[in-house]
Amino acid sequence: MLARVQSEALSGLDSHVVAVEADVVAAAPAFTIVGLPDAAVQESRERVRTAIVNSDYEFPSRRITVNLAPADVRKEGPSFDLPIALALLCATGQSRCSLAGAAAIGELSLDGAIRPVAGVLAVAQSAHRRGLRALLVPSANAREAALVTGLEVLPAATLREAAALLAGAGGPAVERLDPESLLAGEAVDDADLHDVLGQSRVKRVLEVAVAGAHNLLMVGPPGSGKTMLARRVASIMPPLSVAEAIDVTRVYSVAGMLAPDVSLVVRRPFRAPHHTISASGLVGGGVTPRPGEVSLAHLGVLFLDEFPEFRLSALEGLRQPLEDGEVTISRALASLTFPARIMLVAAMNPCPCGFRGDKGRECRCPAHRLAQYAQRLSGPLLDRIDLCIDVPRLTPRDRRDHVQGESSSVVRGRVSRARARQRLRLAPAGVSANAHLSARGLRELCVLEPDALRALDRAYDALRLSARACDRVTKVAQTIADLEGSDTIREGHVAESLSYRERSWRRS
Amino acid sequence: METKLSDRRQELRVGAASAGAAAVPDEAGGDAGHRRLCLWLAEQAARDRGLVGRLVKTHGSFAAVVALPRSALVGALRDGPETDGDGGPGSDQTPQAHEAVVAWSDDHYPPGLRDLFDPPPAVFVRGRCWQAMLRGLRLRPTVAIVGARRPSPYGLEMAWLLGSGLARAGVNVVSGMALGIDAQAHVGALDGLGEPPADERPPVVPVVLGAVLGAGVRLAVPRTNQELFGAVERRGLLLSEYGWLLPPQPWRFPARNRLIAALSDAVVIVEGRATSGALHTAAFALDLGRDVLAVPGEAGRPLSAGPHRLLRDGAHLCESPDDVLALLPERAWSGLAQVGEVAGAPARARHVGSEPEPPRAARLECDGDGEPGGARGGPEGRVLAALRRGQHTADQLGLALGLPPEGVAAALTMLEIDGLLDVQPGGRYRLRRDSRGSSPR
Repeated sequence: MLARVQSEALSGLDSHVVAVEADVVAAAPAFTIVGLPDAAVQESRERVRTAIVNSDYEFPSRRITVNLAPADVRKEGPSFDLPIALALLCATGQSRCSLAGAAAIGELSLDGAIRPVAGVLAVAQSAHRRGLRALLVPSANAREAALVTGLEVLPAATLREAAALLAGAGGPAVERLDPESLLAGEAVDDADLHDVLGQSRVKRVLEVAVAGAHNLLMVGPPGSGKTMLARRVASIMPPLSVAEAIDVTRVYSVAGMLAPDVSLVVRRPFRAPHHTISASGLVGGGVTPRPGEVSLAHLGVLFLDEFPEFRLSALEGLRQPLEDGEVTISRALASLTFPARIMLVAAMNPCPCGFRGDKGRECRCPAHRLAQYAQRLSGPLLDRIDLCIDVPRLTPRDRRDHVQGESSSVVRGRVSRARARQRLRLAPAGVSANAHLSARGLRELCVLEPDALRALDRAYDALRLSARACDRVTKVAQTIADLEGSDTIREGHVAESLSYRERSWRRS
Repeated sequence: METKLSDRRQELRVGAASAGAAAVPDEAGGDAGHRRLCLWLAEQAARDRGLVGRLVKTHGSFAAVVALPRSALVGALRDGPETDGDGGPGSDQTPQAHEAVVAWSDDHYPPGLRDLFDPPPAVFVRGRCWQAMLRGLRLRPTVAIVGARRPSPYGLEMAWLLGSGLARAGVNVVSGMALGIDAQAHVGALDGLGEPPADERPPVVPVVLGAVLGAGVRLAVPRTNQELFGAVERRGLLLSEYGWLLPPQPWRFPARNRLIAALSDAVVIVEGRATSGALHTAAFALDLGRDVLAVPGEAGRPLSAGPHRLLRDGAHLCESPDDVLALLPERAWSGLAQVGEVAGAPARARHVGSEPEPPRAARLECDGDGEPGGARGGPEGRVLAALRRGQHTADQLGLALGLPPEGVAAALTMLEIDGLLDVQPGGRYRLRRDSRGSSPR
């Protein structure tokens, strides 16, 4: 007898329909799964058999063939356990499938319990868009799936419950999250900007960077506080909107990185991968592509400490996501796109030994090592970094004399206002932050006062700026003007912006 | 120490002059044998460390050594004589274009080298206008600038400033072509000379950019300085006592330092650790009675140890090219006066062969009048005033002046656009050296 249960297969951030067909015939006992299953799917035979037996169903000792259609797409992961088991139960008449327009996903454990799977939110969103009415999910994933409004979520904790739901019995009501209230809750931030002593210039640059979504490079000796400052960048970013939070959650869900009791990511991500990370770890990849760190940092901060120490392939791989806000990964079997609208905060020592320019210690780097170190950062990559700042190590006196800085929430208020101004002004260009302005948008939407223009021209000559550097300076100046609430860019804005441009420190 | 030094210099000068006078008639007699002997000795000495010193000790003076037949000298060789012509890559004494061997017995042998106890029997020179350059070495005052191979930005700045300032003032600048201070001094001197005159004709008494090498003059060692070698060859003189292609040896560099000291009227040390080779150059200079100047560094830094030790021992303080110029004795300019090239003190500041520039002092006044930093008001003026007292990070300036970070950043940029500031690695701002000097207030 033949039975069919619908399921969904994750592919990147989307999913597609997979029909799970089971046929049981009277022949020598066998259990075969066809339809390009990978190792995890093949193993599901054992889980399905044991789970069925342990749920007090009968496992047929006949010839079982399970087909996962379409047969030409590779199936992977344990999320087909549940539909296979359900199809088998239907095929042997122990249950029946009376739900139309419903799909099931879930991993089985040997005792018949249903374990959570990755990517439920992405599947739910994608399936709902395609017109799916109901989704049978592991109960641990129920709240995540329920973020999609309009989709009926059927949570099941065991195979028996799932079979009952499939047969049409009403399940327990799903607790729907209220994203608004979750996001509105004041973030109890353990990393606040006022924890950092001194460094008022760097703090100012962080504010400018976040306000305009500019990428930032910090250069300073070890122990100057680069990491501490970077960890606080997310705390001055405006809170996530509901749509943004769902976007971020989707990536984390697909990556299988949602903590067990978290169904919605409410804080902007902060990712700080180690510099030994591979290119595919950073930008995403693998045989069946998974999101990399740039996507996990989507709408948040990607912090790359020891920037020049990263593999060249990884650094160059950053260029596309920094430009486009998304990563496209092409493999033989699939070409996938993950979102990657990040703010890059990079940090590096001024030289390999770290003491170049330090008042207290001599730099011991030979000249050629300095040159090599600087050359690791390519021009095109640095072109995507609008702000560059030195982070000096504090002298004991600086530590004593410092004035208490502002807290993150104060700065966040100014940043949010500046962002709001930008959204209004940049709407014609279709972007939301100054950093993402094209050269044309820059000409059309940014107004320089005559004296600002004069200062820029003088700087162009005196400081030998490139045309591209000039554009970056203008973008940052626009952000500074936005922070100040000024409609036009004035001389002071340009002058301050110039102070944060990339320096010749790279030349030995 | 001062009096002792100058006494000793006087004595040495007199001694050298009389020795030279004694030797000249011999050579005037057309004794080509002396020259051949010198070349042979040079070839042996390039391999046999300390050979000339041993010979001079035995025979009293180098003039006496040269007067002996070759057979009398062979016994002193450590490894037996190198036969003519098959002594390896350094032995070919045939000069190529723009090259020459100058033997001790030649008239155009650099006079300073004769002051050495163990003068090089011959020096190998390379340079597009080597004859004119040798004349320049003879007739113009010469200053050596030496120092650390891995200097700080400050050291580099000072080396450049001294190199360019001295070259502009018509003083030969000599150094050792090592990485760091040496190379920077050469670069400074090149910049100070400016572009060569359009007609490409070298001036009668050119300002010499001398590089004294520890290897053969055709070997551009260290390779990092390849470009600089080319420039010095075009605009100055490469000089070595080690033939054309002899590879560098550790002992050849300290030995090279004594030539640097001997060629110069004064030696300036810019940065160096307590064990720096630049201190050897300074020691040689003292032995030869040359003036030693040291550029002070920041107290307590390892790179300041060398110059500071010299200063403690009585070296002259050097903060600018003017300090060096003030120290050069009137006599050092007498060569120029003889050929009628320049007369009078202010004209010294003229680079022969280029457009005459106003004397240095006058130029500074002009700069001062147009100095944009002089009459600045507002935050820029206050930042400028704070920077005159030293170097600061932006945060220190903000704290000291009570300015917000954005105000400090803007002020610093405007000053930077006007060329008054330098930013150093580590985010420290400082006034440019030349801007500080020219500021009227």
